[in-house]
Amino acid sequence: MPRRKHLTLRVLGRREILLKPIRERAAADLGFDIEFESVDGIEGIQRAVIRPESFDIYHQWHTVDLIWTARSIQPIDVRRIPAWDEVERLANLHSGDRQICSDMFRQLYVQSDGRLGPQVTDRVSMVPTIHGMDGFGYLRSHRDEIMKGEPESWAWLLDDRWRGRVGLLRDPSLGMMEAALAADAAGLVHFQDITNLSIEEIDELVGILTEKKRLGHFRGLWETYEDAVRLMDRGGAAIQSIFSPAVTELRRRGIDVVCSTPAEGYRGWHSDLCISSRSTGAVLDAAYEYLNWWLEGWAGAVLARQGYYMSVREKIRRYLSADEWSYWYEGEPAAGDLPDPYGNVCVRAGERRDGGSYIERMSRVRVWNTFMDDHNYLARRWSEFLAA
Amino acid sequence: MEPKPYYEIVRDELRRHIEARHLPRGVVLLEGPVATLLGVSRGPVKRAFELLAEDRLIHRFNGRGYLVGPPDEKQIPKRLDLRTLGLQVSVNIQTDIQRASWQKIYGEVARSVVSCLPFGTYQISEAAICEYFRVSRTVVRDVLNRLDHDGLIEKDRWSHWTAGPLTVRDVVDHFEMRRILEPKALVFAAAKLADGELLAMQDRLDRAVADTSRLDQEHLDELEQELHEGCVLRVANRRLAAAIRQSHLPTIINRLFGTLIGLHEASDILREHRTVLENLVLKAPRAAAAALEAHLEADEVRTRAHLKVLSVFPEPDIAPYLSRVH
Repeated sequence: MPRRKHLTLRVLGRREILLKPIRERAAADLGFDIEFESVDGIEGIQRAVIRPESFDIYHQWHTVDLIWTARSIQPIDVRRIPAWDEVERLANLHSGDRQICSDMFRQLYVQSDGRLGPQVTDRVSMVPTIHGMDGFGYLRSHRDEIMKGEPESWAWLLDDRWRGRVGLLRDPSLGMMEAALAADAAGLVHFQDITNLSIEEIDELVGILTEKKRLGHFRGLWETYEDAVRLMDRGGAAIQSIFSPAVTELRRRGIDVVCSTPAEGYRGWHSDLCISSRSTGAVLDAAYEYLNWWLEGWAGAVLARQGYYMSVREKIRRYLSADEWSYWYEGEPAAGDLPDPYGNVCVRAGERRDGGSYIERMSRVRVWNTFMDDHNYLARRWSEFLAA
Repeated sequence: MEPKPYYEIVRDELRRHIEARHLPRGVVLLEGPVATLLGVSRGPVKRAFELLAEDRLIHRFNGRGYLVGPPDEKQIPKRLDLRTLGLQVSVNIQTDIQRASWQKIYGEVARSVVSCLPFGTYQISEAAICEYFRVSRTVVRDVLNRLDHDGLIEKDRWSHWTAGPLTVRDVVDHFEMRRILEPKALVFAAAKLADGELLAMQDRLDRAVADTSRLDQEHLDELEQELHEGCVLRVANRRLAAAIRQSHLPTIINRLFGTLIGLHEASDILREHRTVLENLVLKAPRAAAAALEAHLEADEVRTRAHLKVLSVFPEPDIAPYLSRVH
């Protein structure tokens, strides 16, 4: 494709998704420059809300309602997305009566009143792409020593038997949600709605966490998945919150970490492509091309190698070897060694993915990442816990 | 509204009389008699004279005091007893002057407290207010008691005055109050609203709707006030009005959102207002009340969404007498 000089598409997102090979391939395929800027945590959301002129594409993460309210993003016309039908087919995936990707559709369509909702229309707030679920991770060597025979449970994160060897993530939304799952599983607090904590519930939870922290329960609190790797590799954590790329990296280093399948269910997440409300003209056209490029499958195949799923599964299958597909998506034992996104071996022959196939794992999502109503209060109390 | 300083009140009062020619050119103005006439001390009068002289409404001459009129006009000084001129001292000035000391700073303190509510919990320092406004402890305590009475601050268990956070629960509670009280109050108040007044409001609304791109937060605030205060609070029951006024607190969220991010839903708001007004014009107060309830429901949804967005904002500048607790 001829290069379109003077055209640069600016992409904002998390570091786990904005990988260098993806940028290089997209730029080569699309014929214009692409800038990736990794912004994790609250800074990313602030940028997206306050400075929509500073990006063209945002890989949103559980904040679509905020950026829509702030009009930082613009409606996407699905008639310009040829693979849209395949994305929409995700809505049909069920486990029993339960729609397993429900959260991707909850705030997807622009309704007639201008708000977001699940009723199908031609205009959407985002294009669902990457998704997955997180449990906690722990060192296999410790399991029999500490929790012999017990089913994996979020309660382990607050269990005194792990005292001094527990890691948590620092992000207020996710950290608080995992702590709530743990406190709930341990029977310490009963929550009305674990995805939307009340002021009293937040106070109670922070009280428990702070007390645990004073007793030396936590080994560390990590910011990025690289920090999580360090915390478990040489940092002394034996059990912790974990993201899939950290699991693949630890395994690549030969550390036998188990990605748990908590009895209470996983914490699900999805990251979706949004277009800045300020993008117009040639840049807007380029943004649509970039969206369509993602749905073409190559990027999803790269990210599959760190354990992420993609909305257009059939499209990415052609970029994965049969062995990769059956390991990552079907939960079958690997026939041979498998590479991570950079070509290093991260799965060894005979290994089987924790939790099983795509459908099995997705059906076990209990809660989805969310930005709670009283996030403001939650974030402030969470910082107090971090500082305690 | 923040009370004006005395010298400004005096300046405005004198300017009004000069412009209306109740104080004719050449009249000699002396601090003492003017202070007596207006019921204030001489300090503010002296300052008011200086300001009026800067504006060339009065000028110094070869005698004590000032002469009314610009300096370049030759005037023969007229020494009159001001009381003989029959000047009508406006009611405003009387009430403004009589306003208790605490009221002079209440507006500003309340405004800075309210603006920080959505961002967290803040402690208010009595000593810092004293220092900042150069007022006594007694005055500050009056201010704080009043803020407490208005539901803006409270004492924590260590007896510190704190404000905030304004949470989603608060928003829900306040809007529930509003939905219960405002439609009823509007029904009571409807009879007091004159046709001409309503039509004029409708006209202002229509002009705003015609070009929402030019609408700013201040203008939208005025239109909101016309309905929620100008109409609803016309209700005779003072207790009802006071309860409604207190439940207006979450409007700060929309004001901050509009100022920091933009007015994205102004046309929805104005359309909802229009429906209320149309029914008032048609002498259908119950239909107007129902429309008002629908407007408040929609506004609650908007307010909650706005609060969520504000939660990612960095902390705003806060007054020096406030400090963040968490």
